[in-house]
Amino acid sequence: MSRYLAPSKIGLLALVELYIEGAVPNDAAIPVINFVTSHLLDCNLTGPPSPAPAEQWKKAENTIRLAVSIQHFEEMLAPFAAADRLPGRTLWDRFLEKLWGIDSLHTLHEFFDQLPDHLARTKAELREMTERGEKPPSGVLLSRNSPFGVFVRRSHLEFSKLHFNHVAELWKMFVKYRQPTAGHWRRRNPHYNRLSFDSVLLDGEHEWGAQTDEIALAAYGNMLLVDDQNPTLLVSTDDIESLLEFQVEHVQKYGTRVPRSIRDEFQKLLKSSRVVPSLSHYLNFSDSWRSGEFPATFDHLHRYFDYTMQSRDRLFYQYALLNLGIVQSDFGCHKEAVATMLEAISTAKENRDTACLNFALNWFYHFSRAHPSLVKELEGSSMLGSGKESLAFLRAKAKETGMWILWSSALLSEAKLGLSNGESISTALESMVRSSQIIVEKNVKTMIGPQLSLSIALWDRLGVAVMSTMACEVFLRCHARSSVFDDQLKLTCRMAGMLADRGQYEEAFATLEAIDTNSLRSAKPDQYWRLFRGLVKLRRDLHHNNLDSADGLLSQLLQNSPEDIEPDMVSIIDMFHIEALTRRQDFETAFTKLDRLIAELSHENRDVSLRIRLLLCKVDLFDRLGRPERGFTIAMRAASMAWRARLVSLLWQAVGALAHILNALGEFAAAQQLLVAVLPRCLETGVAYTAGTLYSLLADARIGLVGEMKDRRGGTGTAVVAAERAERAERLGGVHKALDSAFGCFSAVEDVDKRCEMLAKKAAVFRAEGDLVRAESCAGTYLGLWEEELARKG
Amino acid sequence: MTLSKAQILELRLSLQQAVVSCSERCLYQSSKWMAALLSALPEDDVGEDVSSVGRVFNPPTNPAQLHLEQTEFPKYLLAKSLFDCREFQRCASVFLPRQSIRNTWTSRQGAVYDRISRKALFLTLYALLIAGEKQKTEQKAQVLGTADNGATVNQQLPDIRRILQASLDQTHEVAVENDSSQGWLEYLYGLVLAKDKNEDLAILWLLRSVSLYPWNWGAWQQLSSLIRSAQHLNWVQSQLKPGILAFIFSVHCRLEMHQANPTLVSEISQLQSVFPHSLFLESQRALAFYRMKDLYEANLLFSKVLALDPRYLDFFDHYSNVLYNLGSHDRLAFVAQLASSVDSHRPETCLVIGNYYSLSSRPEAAITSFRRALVLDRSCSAAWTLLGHEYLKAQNTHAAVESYRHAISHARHDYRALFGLGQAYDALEQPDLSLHYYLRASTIRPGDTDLLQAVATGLAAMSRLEEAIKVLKRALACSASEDGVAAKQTHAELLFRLGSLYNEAQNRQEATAYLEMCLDKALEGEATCRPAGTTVSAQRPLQPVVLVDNGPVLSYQRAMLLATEHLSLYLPFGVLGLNTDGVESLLHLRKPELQSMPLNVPRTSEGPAFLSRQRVVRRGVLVGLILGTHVERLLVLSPQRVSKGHGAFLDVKG
Repeated sequence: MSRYLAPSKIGLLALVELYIEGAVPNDAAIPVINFVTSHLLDCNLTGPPSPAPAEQWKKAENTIRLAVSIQHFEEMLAPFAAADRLPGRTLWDRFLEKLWGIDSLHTLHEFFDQLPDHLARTKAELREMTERGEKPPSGVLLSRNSPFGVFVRRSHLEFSKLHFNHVAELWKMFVKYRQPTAGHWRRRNPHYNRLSFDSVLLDGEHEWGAQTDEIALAAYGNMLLVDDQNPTLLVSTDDIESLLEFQVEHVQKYGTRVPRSIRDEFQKLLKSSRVVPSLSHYLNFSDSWRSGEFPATFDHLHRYFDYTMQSRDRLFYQYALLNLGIVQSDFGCHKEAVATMLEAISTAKENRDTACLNFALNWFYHFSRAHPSLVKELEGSSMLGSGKESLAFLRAKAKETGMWILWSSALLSEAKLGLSNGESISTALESMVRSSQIIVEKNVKTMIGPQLSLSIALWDRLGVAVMSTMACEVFLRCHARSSVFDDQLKLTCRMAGMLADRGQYEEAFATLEAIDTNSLRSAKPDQYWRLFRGLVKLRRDLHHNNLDSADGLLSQLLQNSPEDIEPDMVSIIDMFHIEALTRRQDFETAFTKLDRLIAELSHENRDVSLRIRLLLCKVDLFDRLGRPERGFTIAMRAASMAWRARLVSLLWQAVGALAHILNALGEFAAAQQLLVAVLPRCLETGVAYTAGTLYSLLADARIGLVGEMKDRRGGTGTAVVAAERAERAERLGGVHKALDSAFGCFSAVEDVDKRCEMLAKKAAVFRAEGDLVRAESCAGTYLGLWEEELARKG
Repeated sequence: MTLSKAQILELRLSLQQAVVSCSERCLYQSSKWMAALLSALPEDDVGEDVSSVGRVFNPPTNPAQLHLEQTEFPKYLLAKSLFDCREFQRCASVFLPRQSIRNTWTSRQGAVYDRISRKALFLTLYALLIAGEKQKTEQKAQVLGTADNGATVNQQLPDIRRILQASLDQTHEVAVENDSSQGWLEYLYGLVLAKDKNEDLAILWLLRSVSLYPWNWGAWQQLSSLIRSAQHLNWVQSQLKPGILAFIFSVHCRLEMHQANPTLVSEISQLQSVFPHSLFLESQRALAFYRMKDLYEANLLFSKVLALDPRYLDFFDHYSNVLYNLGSHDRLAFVAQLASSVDSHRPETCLVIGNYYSLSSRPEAAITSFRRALVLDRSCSAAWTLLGHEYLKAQNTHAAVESYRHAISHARHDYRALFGLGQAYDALEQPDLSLHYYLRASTIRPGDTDLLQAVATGLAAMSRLEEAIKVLKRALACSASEDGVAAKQTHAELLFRLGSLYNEAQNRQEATAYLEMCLDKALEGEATCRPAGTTVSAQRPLQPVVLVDNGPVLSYQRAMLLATEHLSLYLPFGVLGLNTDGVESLLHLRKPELQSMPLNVPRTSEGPAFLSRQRVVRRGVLVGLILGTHVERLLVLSPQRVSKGHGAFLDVKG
């Protein structure tokens, strides 16, 4: 097999010749040039710079098709007429004429030998020519460094380097490659004969007679037989390598797997190429990594580095370790991963490979954030230092070496660290702005995902749902194509989560389903996606009080060991578990679990928001147990923590909890004051459930206030009574309003319990007012709701 | 030559026995050759003689030997299998443990080889020999490397020779007629002696071998490579019993020694009447035509063999030589493709490929191919010769000399290598050495005018004009017997050469006489060719013009000088009898046509004909004579080159 030349390359050369000869009409010039260049260079003259997911693999597909069959040429050339004397001839005919003109092995040699004639002469050559008295050549000549010129020169050089066997092989494969066009060629050329593919056989036929077939068989082997099943295709190493590079680049760029069809075709090519470039091991490695095949991944990784280590003089050992570490942590072997990564860091230091060192440190930082228990003992003893120090170091190093991605990622990590520690928002914002500047200035497209997801998280904390939704939309519409698939997936899930918060479950599911299925073939994203879908479903089930189905889902979700999935997800699942337990009235288990979680959290220095959430959960539990006052200090703590960390949406929840306790303590006025102040801000967060809770608390406070009015009824005068009645009616109206709003919020998230509760309260209030009809209708709606829900379950 | 049915049956039986015997002794090539010959017999009178099968596998053998063979049969099977698996050392040690080879004399029970059969001894020693050869090739390392010289020898030879000597001395048995166990050891001894360069003794032993057992083609082949000359061949043949193989041997020998003539061809035809399907004989016939320089006939015959069996590669090197000389690019490329798809690891294949590259003017690639052929087979003399040619083309003269020497050491009758050596020394400006090799080449092919011309040139360069003239006259006599356009042209050239030699020898009278004859010849050729007009042969007389266009300026000056002399003799113009029309037609060649004509002289059938300076001069004179009055036109042809001569010619005119 040849290094560079293949039958398809001969076709391209013939096309270049046609172009030089002026046979290509004006309207076909651009398609022809585009065709040739897209196969020679890694560029495409037409089409958008960042293609849609369906188009991403088009180039690989085209390369494979060109290597496999000549039809690709036909599709491109047949629609154009040739710039020719004869009418009715297409460019495809001219092209065939050229190909069939190469009618023997010697003509193939000549074809390549005359290639330099198409090149512009160098000065020295021109001088020699004038000395010999020859005129410089005329016509279209290719400049030596133009893409076509380079192609022609390279082809000529590669051909002259080929051994005879390989030339003969090339010739045979060319004959095979060209043979499908025989039918077309016969129609155009009446002299066509069975042996036209080789002029020597054609000439020798009268000499050899019946033996010609035997000779042809000896010279060409089995490929001439009709039932030849040998699917060998001649592809050059060059083609294979460019395909490999393309695939590896795509896999790394988008973090997806190679589509099945392309992978199969490529495997077929690789099989017939006999040479297996070491890069293909890397491709296999990443493919099995993404498919979650642990032993195969290690096998391929080892194999790849075994091959590359010997052949290149540069030391790549640290990269092998780096990859190994990442893979190990991905497959949950965290301890091994730590050891490997530490070795990678020290090797990189030894070999003075700053790029690798920085990358490893960055990874290690993130790892230590995710698994603090594993690196705890390292913190004190090693020189790595604590998180903050290593981040500062990384930032400085990245700036020095001009690693923009790392720089921006370090800044973002710093911002994230600040946020999760509950530190100043403005400092975090400053880091984010700096990172954003780097991203925009250096056009680091890959970092847009993390940047935007952090800003979404920030707006979320600050309780401005509109902003976070907008950021999400911006990413999904503008940047999703050019970013890593993981980012796309995460942000899509985030979007779905926000929709679910607002109660738009159907839209949330639609968003999740819209994700490219090919990308979901990777194991990890697929798991994440399924998990998230499960969570949305679980939330809906819980709201519908559909506890059996929720249990089913939970039992599946809880099986995910915390090593496999991200800590955020684990905590979300835990929260849902507690909620499910409380809804089942299994308070004891819920309480134990909660206590355990809180204890765990206080050991590890984890995100503040999580702790607040757990605290609020505990307050809620106390409330359910009917002893809300016991949660007072906890609620106060949660509120103050949320306030300090500017975790606005949690703050409103905490305030709600506080108001509840105030209600319980009979401090209705204070509760109302708090709630009225908080409610508009809470509506901004877009979390309908919290808003509903707050509204219902408000209604409670207001009812309490009405009750207080009854207690302190002092005067008996009619005017006083009338005024009181009016005030009472007004207050009850407020109660109704609050209850209606709460009902609206709860029906948005489809929470049956709360809706029923609201209706019951409403009915009670009506009855207290004496409006039995309305009370009855409320009760009717209540029953209707129950029945509807039962029907849903049944 | 026809054989009766009984004779054919007997021949068939003998051949079958020979094939079995050869393959029992692992003489693969001989066995292959004999089997091919066997299947070349006519099939129509095949008698269903089942009993002969038994006789094939049990040829008549000396009873004592038979007994030995039967007792050692298991060991023999082991040894044969080992040999087949190319484990030669191990094979040798089956019958002859290593220390017993050294201690044959001290062994108490007498010599080891007494206790084993002759067949086993042959196999053992042959395995040793092959092992030694393999070792030798490994020691030689790179082709044309530092170790690749005559100093590297087969280490096993002394041992084998000693044992063989002892064993053959002891056997005083009476030679039984047609005893299949005899003759083999003698062949091996001959082989060993030949490798030791003890040729006369080797010939004696080989003769004894073939007289004991004539069906061993290897022995005949070895014998043919030891024949020194035609006289020697006659002597050898006088020692032989007549037989079919002796006949084939004689034909083969004469072909190897370049003594192809119509008689030989008819002899081959006789043999073919016995073996009608023999590809070997058919290709020998083609080779004979090739040696007789009848390229077209040779091409046809080779092509026929190709059609008979496309996978028969043995003759491909000769076929590719023919195609090379015919300049048939595409056919040569096809044959190369065929060969490489049949078996790319055969020296013949590499030779074909090398020839193709040589024809496509890619000497580096050709050199690589030829070297590859040599890696596959160090003793392939054709590859050495062609390699020498390519090195000469690439102006690596020392490597060329070395290659040619290798070629000659493997095939002493390879006159192309000798001729090439002469040319190489010519290029190194050592005329006496060059002359020596030209002479040696011309003794192999006495009738070759090209060789004689080269000899004459060498002699003339050493100012031995009388001898040179004698040689040229002999060449003239040879060329007179040939006909055809090319021969006519050589004839004219020879005449001219003679004229100029006489001129150098200050014999003006003779010189003018020959030059006149030359002009007549040239014009005659011109006249005969004119009606033909467009054919390729019509352009042949014009070749000198092209050569002038291509030659160095020096030649013009000398041409001019000579022309001055002759023109002054024969002025005015009419006296010369020059047909101006003829000159006109000569000059009608326009410049583009001139360019399109091949500027280098096509290589003669036996090697590249390098234009020595003298030849250019000679042609220059011819042109000078013819074109003396048309210098202006010549200017059009090649302005820069002629400008120097121009003035002189004008002077002459004035």
